[in-house]
Amino acid sequence: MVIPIEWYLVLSAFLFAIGAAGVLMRRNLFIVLFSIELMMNAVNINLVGFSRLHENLIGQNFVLFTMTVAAAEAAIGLAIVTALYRNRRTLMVDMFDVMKG
Amino acid sequence: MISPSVDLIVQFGLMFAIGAIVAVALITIAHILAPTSKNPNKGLPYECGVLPDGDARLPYNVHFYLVAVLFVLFDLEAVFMYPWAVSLAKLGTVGLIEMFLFIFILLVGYFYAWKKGVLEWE
Amino acid sequence: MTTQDLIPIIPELILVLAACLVLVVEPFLKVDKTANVAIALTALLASGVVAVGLAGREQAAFTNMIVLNEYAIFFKVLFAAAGALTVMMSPRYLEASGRHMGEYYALLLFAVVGMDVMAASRDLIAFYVGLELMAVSSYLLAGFLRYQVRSNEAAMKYFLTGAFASAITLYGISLVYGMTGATNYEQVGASLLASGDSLAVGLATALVLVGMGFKVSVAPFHMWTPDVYQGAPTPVAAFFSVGPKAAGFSAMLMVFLTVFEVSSPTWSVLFIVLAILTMFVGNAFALTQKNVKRMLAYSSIAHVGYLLAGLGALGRSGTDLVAGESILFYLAAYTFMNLGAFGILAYLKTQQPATFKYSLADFAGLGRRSPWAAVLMGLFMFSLTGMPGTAGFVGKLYLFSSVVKADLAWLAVIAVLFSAVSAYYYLRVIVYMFFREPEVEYATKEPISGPLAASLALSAVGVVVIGLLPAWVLDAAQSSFGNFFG
Repeated sequence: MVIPIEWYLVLSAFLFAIGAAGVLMRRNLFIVLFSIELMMNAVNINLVGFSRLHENLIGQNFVLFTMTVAAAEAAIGLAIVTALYRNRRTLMVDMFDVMKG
Repeated sequence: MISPSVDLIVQFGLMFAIGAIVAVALITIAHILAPTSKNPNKGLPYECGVLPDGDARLPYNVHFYLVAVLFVLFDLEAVFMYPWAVSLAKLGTVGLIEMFLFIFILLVGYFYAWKKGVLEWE
Repeated sequence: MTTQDLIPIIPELILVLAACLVLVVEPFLKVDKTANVAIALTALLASGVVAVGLAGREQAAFTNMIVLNEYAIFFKVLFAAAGALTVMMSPRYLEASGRHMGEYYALLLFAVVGMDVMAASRDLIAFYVGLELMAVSSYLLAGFLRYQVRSNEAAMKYFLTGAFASAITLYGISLVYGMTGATNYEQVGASLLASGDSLAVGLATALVLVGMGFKVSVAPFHMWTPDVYQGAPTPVAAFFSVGPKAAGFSAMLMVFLTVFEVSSPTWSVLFIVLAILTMFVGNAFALTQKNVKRMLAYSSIAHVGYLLAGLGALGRSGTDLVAGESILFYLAAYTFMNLGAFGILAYLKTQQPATFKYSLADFAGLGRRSPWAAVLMGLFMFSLTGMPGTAGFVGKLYLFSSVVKADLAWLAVIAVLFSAVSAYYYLRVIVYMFFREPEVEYATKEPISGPLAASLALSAVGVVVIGLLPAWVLDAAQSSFGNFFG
């Protein structure tokens, strides 16, 4: 049985929505980071699904790039979080309010 | 596009519904039937014996993170080598040179990390 | 790939090699980082000169992923100039902040490469990779002062909003690929035109627009901008306010003109609504700021609003690309005047690292203390307001008249009214500099560093030259779109 493309789309839309909700609602920086990764992975599912649908490899090529970019972003996110934690001793997003106005 | 047959949607919905009902039911039943104790000792890791001292989560040396991050980055760059290896026959010499350029750029990063002392372990 | 493919990316190759060189040299340098400053500056100048030398060539490379044309060259030169001016204003500032490291220049070079790729890309994959190269380098630059909480927070906010935004853009791109099976701009555009406008196309358009809107700080998505500019090192804030914004617009122009040609009625309306909102938010909040750095951040949002009005006009005018040309011109003018204004801030900060807090009160009596800085700041403020004789005036003139040409006279009127409002907060700085007495006398000043002075002088020259002889830049902007539909 061939799994129809809609299923991939629904899965990825759900994942993307969960990720977006996580970014907007969670307070812990790490969870927000994971949520962004979830959004990128939703995109990857989309791309691979479409690649299968169109029977060309562009989508799969694209996934390689998004994966590396996601890794780079995660590395930099972790570096920023470490630096921030050293100075502030907290990871709650809403505690970062030195600048206002 | 192929649209999913109604049959499949019904099957999926049924499976989802049964799963959800069972999960919710089990949690509720356990909550109602289980005996509960209000004793504060209930919250301790051990109800008898020595009280635990300090935090269970020890701070790791930040070095672990650095090495892990480096590993993830260099590991993922290898992803580009698989499609390259598969199609190398078509790409020819130019493809070979391109990959060496790519690896050269990675080497610059490696050299930088090395010189900055990331790889030294006390 | 053939060796021919390398010709269009020579400017970027120079920058990448220089950045690698900086990273290799850096561990061997002790305190004196002059070598790395020199490498970065030389590379940026070389890349700008080579880009000018490539003018007149038309070439597509890497299976149409990257093109070389007047449009790409215009932006390559602009980004090289912005990068070079930023490099020149950085060393003294970073020394004063106690964190002068060579990596800074490598990151700046990588960011410029990413911006170049964005402007030159004709494929959604190349566009995305360029965008991320720019973004990832900028996150680190924002947090470069690692031991300052503000800089950490700026990096964190920039990173979270930036990564969120690029994920949204990416989702839109994946939908576009799903509808067409291609990522090349022309192929995607043609395929979408053939299948016609639909809800899915509208959704993809909106997603890409929202993601890019975060990057260039369009109004409902602008919250990060003032905090990031305030917390980031001042030269970096200067760079952010011109570089990534210009790059974002360069990519948006291309993507919306070619890929989303079919949904131009939709995005044109969206841009017009967002333009009004952005102009309002930017100007209204800038009015209330007592901190000049934050004021400049909100003013940069207001300028994005003017540019969005141009984009809205572009979507309505069909094959008439005068709005696109005036956007390019405005970006060039804006680059010089804003870099100059931030450069003055960097200079003042190096003068009194401890006491200067960027507040308006710190500017009181500047006209007497350092007349040159005050006069230049006055020039940049006049230009940002849009006074005749400066680059800002000509930029606004072309931009707003192109909006009028697209039958959007009411929008141009709103934009002019908001510019008039902006005069209040720009001229207030001048009033403080020349007509207010300082509450505390500041210590005597140390001499300005050579590169910083050069950077300020070049920005001022840019503002005046573009203001008095706009033909040069205007010709370049016009030829950028020369054979767009040919």
